[in-house]
Order: sequence, then structure tokens, then C-alpha cells
Amino acid sequence: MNERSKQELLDRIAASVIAGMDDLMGMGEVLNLVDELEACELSAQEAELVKRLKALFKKIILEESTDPEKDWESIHETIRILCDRSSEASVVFSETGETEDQPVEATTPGSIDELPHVETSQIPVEPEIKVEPEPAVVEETVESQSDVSAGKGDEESASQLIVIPVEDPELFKDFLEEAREHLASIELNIISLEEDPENKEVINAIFRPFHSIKGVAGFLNLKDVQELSHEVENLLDGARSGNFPVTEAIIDIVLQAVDILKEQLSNLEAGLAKGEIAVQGDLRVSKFLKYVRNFDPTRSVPPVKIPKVGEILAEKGVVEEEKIEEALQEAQEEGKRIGEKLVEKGVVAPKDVALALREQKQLKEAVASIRVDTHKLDNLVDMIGELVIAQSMVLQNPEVQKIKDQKFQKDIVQLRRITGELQRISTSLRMVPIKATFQKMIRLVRDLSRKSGKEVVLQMSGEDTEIDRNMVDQIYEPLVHMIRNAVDHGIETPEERVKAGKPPHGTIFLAAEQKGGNIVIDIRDDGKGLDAEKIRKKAIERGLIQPEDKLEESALFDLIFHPGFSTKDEVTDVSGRGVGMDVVKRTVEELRGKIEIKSKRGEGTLFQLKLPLTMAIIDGMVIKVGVERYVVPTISLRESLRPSINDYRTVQGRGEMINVRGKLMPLVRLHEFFGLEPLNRNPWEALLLVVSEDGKDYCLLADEIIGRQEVVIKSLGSALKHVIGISGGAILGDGRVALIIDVKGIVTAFERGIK
Amino acid sequence: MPSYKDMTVLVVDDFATMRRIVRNILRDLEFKKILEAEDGTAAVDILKTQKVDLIISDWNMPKMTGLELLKWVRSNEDTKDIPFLMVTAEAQKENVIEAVKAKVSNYIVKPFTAQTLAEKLEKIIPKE
Repeated sequence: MNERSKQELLDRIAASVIAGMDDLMGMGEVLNLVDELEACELSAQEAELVKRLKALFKKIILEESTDPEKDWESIHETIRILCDRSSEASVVFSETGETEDQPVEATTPGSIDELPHVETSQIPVEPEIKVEPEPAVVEETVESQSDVSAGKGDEESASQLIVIPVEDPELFKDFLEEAREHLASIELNIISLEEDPENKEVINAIFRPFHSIKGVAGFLNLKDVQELSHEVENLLDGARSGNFPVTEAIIDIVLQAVDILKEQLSNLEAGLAKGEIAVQGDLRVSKFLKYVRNFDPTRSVPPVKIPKVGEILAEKGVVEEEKIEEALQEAQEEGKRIGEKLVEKGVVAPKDVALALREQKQLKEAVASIRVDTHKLDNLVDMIGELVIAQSMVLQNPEVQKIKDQKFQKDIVQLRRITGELQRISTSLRMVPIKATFQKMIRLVRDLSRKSGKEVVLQMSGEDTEIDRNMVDQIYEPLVHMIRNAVDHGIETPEERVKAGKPPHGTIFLAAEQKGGNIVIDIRDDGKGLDAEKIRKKAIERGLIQPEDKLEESALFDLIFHPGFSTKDEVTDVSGRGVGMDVVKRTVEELRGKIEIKSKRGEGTLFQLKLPLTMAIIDGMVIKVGVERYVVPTISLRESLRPSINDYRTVQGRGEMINVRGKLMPLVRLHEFFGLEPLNRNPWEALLLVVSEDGKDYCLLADEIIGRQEVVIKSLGSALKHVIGISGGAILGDGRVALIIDVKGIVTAFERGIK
Repeated sequence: MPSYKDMTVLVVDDFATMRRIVRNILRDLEFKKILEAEDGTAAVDILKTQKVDLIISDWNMPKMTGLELLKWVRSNEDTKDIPFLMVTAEAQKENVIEAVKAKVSNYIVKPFTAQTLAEKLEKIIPKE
């Protein structure tokens, strides 16, 4: 069966006609047949011939042959031998003997260098083999290496700055514009690549623009641009083919290349105005090229050892190492797997083995992607928190405090310094610039503005502001949602804008800034602003408020965060599918953040997100209620004050109220909430913390403010996790633990208590 | 040299500047009817509705690559005989074998001159 189809293929190959060296289609036909033939069972000789045939075709097709005529003859000759040979095996050797004299088989360098294996094969067809290294490659390596050691190449190439006159300025302008667009797309894709370094699609999407830029640069004689794109393209091609993983070093190279290309484009633009452009010899380019050419992408992967299942089990303390050793030996003797053996011996439960295997698998995957699991970082931060606690427990031990030794005191200072530094480093490990998230919005705005038919420009600032890695992902969705809202509901159509005396294009400002221990993100648009009346009507319709309710504008705005406010019947192509601002608010609150709206009719809307810098630390106000200390996140705090006795009043049905500059706010007694004996019962003798939740202000009654500090958050054990009014524990500067007040929880419970 | 004046040529490249360059060269070679497509799928749309006598396509394009376009062209009764010139880059030359197996008429390596293009066209356009 196999033989017959093989014979058929050979017949067809023998009968095929290739019109000449330019007849690529004819060659393609034969190559396809040869491919099919390769799939058949072939003798060693046949396989060699097939290999040779393919190599010869390749050489002809790629025009790499030094002597095309001779190679062309060889092709025909090889086909003839191949087709004869397999039909009559006995002829093989005499045939081979003949072919020995063929000019084809001469040892011309380059003509048979593709066939290094023939040397050891039985076919005496090739009497001698010379394996020629590819000269070009060798030269390049030597050159680049010597360049680096000498370091002189820089000045030399820099002095050879080549400037040419511009022939077709229009073409150049087109190129500049298009190249810039491509560079922008590269930057966007790099972000996706950092998140998913193995995604071939993304690598390809970065590869392609470099490829295109290189192609055009070749036509325009822009040697620097061409070479630079070429090197990056090569690197990406390797990554694309899976030769090596995409590492940060590679991403850095790509980003650097983008920077240099941008600079080159600006230089070209400037040159264009003068009618003369520098195309080659830029110092920065030559330095970069040298670096990239010497860069070994395969070497930049740090080797990581993956532990054996037994090691994982031992480490977890599931089973003693001796037992594992024992089991391992037996398992090897019986040809079983270690996990199997351990279970069989009854020393571990199958569940433990499964868990260990899973852990091992995760480790393997982690090695492949070379990322650090944020859980590990969380763990580290947690453990360092524990360390600080343990340290202070030791130091506050009365026995230890009796020690007056000077050396001891000095050592303590040193210890404190180290733990403090550790704490700082561990938290900074998880911080990343918000840039990546912001940059995704560029694309979003562009897409939205195209879809909605509105012209929208995005302006950004503070992209370098750092934020907790764990939060970055979580704020993405809310940001997308708010920007969608801004485009969909905020920005007007160009006609409307012109009519209102605004520029036809709307602007969305996205800004991040670190303020104290918080990060503040502003999403502002210059659109039409929120319509308080409309919101009011809708809220009444939805039954969120009563027609007679009198609400301030800010309280009305806050209604858009209400889960019942936005509904599916206002789905547009651009904004929500029933997912409302309530989701945004909830997400922000889960991050211990706050969101506020400011809006002015006709001028625009500002959404302000206040988030803690990290999930591990909060900026808190340490207060005292009775003898207990609590931490109030400053993000929730408006102000603190001590009212006069006249500001205190009791309102029928609403309980105790405080008049703060003409505004009545409910008084929430923290000591009652926590069941403590307060130092002062009268608000005018105690201290009030003004907080605002859902557009309403409250006064929390406390005894004393100790001070503001950054505290490390410790999650509470499961017993305390769901205690209302408490969101966690905090390690204070002195190492003592205080509870963090969950303002929203307290206020909600308070409201419920009244109703 | 065959007369290019009456031939319709389709230039496929995702890079507009590149299309413009090819177009300029084709004009120098006296082509009059030049169509453009920004990727394989756009080219297919054109090929479905218009008669084209020659395709010059880039290899590396989003959505549908030059190779995929070539395969489509060769598998379609109405288009299977259209001369197809693949534009490739030096670094991608290895891939040319793939294109040859898919019955490309010929290929040209970027950057090329009007003369090289003319030579390649002479090889692939059937002489009357």
C-alpha cells in the first residue's frame, strides 16, 4: 500500500516538468510531491537523495547558489537517480558508481554543505565533504565582539554621519506619520506582552510593525532605522519561533528601540524641513545595535530548580525525610513513582501527594514565565509584619528592658533599622507604575471615539505614580467603565460642542498623584456635566428617593452609584451593558478606597478615586476610645473637631446630632459601638471625627487623637473577619496591634439601628 | 516586455507607505490600473468583485498573511491563475519555500528597485 503510493509519487516526480530556474510554480509542484514522498518509508539512500533534492531546490529558489547551472543539472540528475533507484534496487550500486564522476558531486564549497551527514552514510556519492561555516555570521560576531572590547567603534561610526538630500518629501511625511502610529501600537502591545510573555499573537503584533518599518526604511535608504528595526525584528522572530522566552531584558530592548526610533523620526522630521536628512551613523543607534547583537536571549533565563515531590512533602512536614529516602529506594526498585509508593506504604494521604504535585506543577509554570507570584510577596510582607511584632514583643519584655548594656542598646538600634528597611523594601516590591494601566486607556478612548462618532482626546499625567500590583488589575475595570461613561454620556457631539462654544474635540484627563499615603486618580472630562434634575427624576422613578426628599446636589450625584440606578434599558454601543457605577464604587471600596464626583453643568465631570497606596499599608489616624486604640483610615476622614456645647442637639426621631457650620450630622458614639467605657461622654469634651459615606456626613465620637501614621495591615483570623465595624488589624509603630475601623460598616450599622 | 498598460494590478500591504512606494515603482513601469488592499481579507474582497491580472502582496500582514492570501487565490477557480508576486524581507527568505509550495509565481526581496521588479514581472507574466 505504502509502496504503491510511493511508486506513484516517484512516477509523478519523474514526469513533472520544470520549465526553468524561474519556474517556481513547477518547483513547488515537485517540492510538494517530495514532501509527500518523505512521509513514505524510504531507504537510507532515498532519504539522502530526497534531502539533497530539497536542499538543491532551496538553493535555486533562494538564489543562493554559486553555480546555478550546475545545481540545476544536479536537480535533474538527483530526480533521475531517485526515480530509477527505487524501482530497481539492484541497480543502486552501479548507478552510484556512475554518479561518482558527476560534476554535481564535486566538492565545490557551498554546493553540498547542506549535507553534512552524507559523510557517514553508505552512499559513496559524495567522496568528500567540506563543512563550510557561514562566513557572514562569523564575521559579524568577530566584529561586534572586537567593537565592544575596543570601544573605539563609536567615535568612528559617529564620525561617518551620512546625510542625504530628500527627493520625495511627501513620501517621507507619510512614512513618519505611519511609523509613529506603528510605534504607538508596539507600545500598547508590549503591555499585553508583559502580562502574557508567551502569547505568540502579541509577539507577532509587535514583530510586524518593526518589519514594516524596516521594509520602508530600506526603500528610503534610512540605514540606521533599517538596521535597528532589523535587529529587533530578528530578536522577536526568535521569540516568536519559541527559541527563547520573552524576558524583561527583551522587553527592555524593544522599548528602547521604540524610543530610539521615535527620536530618529523626530530627527528626520527636522531634517525634512531643511531638505537634508541624516540616515546613518547615529551614535545612539550604533551603541544600541552593538548591545543587541551581543545580547544572548537564551542566556538571560535564570535556571530555577524544581523541587521533587518528595522534597515538597518533606518541606511541608507531611512526612519525614528518612521515610521518603526509604520509599524512594523501594519505588525505584519496583519502577513505581514516589508518590504512589508513599501512599502505598500508608505514610501519606493521596490528597497530600496530589497537593504536592499541584504545587510542583505551579512551580514549573512559574519557572516558564519567570514571574513572582504575588501571593509569595504578600506572604513576605505578612511575615515581615510578624517580625516587627515579634521584635517589639521581645524589646518590651520587662526583663529585656532592664538590660542597660550599651552594646545591647546599640544592637537594638541596628536591629530596628534593619527590620524597618526590610519592611520598606518588601512593600516597595509590590509597587508598579500605573503607566501600563493608563496606556491601555489610550486605545480605549481611540476606539470609543471612533465608535461614538465623537472626537475625544485623552490627556494623561502622573503615569509614573506607583501603586500596589494587586490593585492595578482591580482598578482597570472601574477606569474603563468611567472612561466609557465619560465618552458616552459626558462628551457631546462635535456639533453640540461647537454650539456651546467649546472646541469640537472633547478631552478626557486622566491623572494620578500620590497624596500622603494615598493615590488619587482623577478622571475628568470637559463634557456637558451631570444633570442633577434628570438624576433626581430618574431616582424618583426608580424609587430610590421620594419626590419630597430634599437633597443637595452632591448627594444627588452620589445616587448614580446606587445599584438600582443604572439599568439595562439604556444600553448603547459604547457604554454599559447594565453594569453600573455601583460596581465601580463597590470595587473601589473593596480596595479600601473612595470615589467622589464633582460636576458642573456645561463644564464637565470629575470622578476622583482615592485609593490606599498599597493593600499592605494604610495611612491611618490612630485614635483612642476609652483605653483602646483604633485606626481610622485617613481616606475616610474629612476633619476632626471639638464642638461647642451649643452645637449639640437631639432631634426627634433622628437621635443625637452635631451642628457643623450649619449642617446637622448624626453623632455616632464609637464607645457604644465597641462596648467600651469612654473617658468623656459629652461631645464638647471629647473629639469628633467627621466622615462621609454615600454623600452623607457623620460625626464619630472618640476620646483622643494620638497621631497619624502609616500602619501595616494584618488580616484578622477567621473569628474576627466578619466583625462589623472592623476591617482588619494594624501593627502600630511601637509594635502593638490596633483594630482598623471600617467606617462604612459602622455607619451602615448605625443607620440600621435608627430605622 | 509585455504591455502593463491594460493590466489591473492589486498591491497588498498593511503599511500605506509601502503601498505608495510600490505604486510609484509600478507607475514607472507604466502600469495604469493599480488597486490597493491593506491586508489579505481586504484583498479577497477585491478579488471577489473585480478582475485582477496581477497580485503583488506583502507576506507579513495582520488578519490574513500573504501566504494565506496566496493559498486562497490558488484554491479559488476564478483567481487560481493570477500571477502572484510575494514581497518578502531578507530575514524571512527561508519562508519563501513555503510560498513556492503554495504555488507562488515568484517573490521579491525588500527593498527592491524598479528594475528588479520589472525583471521579476517579466518572469511571471505570461507572454502573448
